[in-house]
Amino acid sequence: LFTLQDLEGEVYSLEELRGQPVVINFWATWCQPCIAEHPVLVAASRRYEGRVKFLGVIYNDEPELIQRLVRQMGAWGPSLIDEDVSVAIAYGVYGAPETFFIDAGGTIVDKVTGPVSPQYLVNLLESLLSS
Amino acid sequence: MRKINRRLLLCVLLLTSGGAMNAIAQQSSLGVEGEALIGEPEGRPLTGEELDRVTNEVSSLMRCPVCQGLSVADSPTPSAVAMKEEVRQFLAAGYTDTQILTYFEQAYGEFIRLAPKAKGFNLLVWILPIAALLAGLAVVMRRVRRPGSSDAQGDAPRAAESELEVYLEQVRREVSS
Repeated sequence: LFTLQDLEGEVYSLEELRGQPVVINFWATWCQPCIAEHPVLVAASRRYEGRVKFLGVIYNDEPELIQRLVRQMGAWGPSLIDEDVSVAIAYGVYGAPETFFIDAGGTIVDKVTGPVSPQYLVNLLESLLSS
Repeated sequence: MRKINRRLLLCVLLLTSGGAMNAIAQQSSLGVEGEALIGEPEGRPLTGEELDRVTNEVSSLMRCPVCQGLSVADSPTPSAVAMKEEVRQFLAAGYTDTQILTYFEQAYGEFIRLAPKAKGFNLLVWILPIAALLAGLAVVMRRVRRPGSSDAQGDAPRAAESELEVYLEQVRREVSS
């Protein structure tokens, strides 16, 4: 469970998202695999808009740098500020990027360390939506 | 402190609204196993120098997740610094070292412990080195005590003396001739 603010100050609570699959991605601008993965997440967030919630959690990075990159490359979801890294620690994050897949019931069903491939992402989300 | 207070408030709300099992189920089903699983603080809140000292002690038991072979106490990385700060907050709130290690273990698994727990299969890690040392000592003692043992250390001086004797004999012959 966590409650975090995004770059615009909007508050997101994981508990409130129960009922739909959620993708949580820990990322940073200093992380090249995160940059490589970004277009994949942008495309997936558009494809599954309204059916799957995508949340980005900023991992050891400056919100301003995230904001600049999102302006350049597009957004795939709110970028949440985890200022004290407590959410990353609670999720047992080792580095960026790490992506957690949570089903509609609120259970973490999968975790991908490193950039997630488009095919893997689609397969997993389809399976989450059909179950 | 603010964060832990918020977490405690959340636990209290969950406990009062649905019972302990509901709270644990709700927390664990979401994948983040927080204070609901380590319960209420079982120690006393620490402050001042004692807080600094115990923070360092507990952090030194934890492996930095983004380093190689460094403890959280020794690592300067932002993640380790954040973890150390969480340890400090837990101790200031009265959680014990066991509760704190359990909390981090729920997120990172046993990897987070620099020294594995001495139970089950892990016992081998503790027992094998001692067993190997004792076995080695037993072998050495047996060889040392065996009468007329012909170990390499005993043979080496005798071989050297024999070579020297041959050399000396040759010298004597050449001098006398």
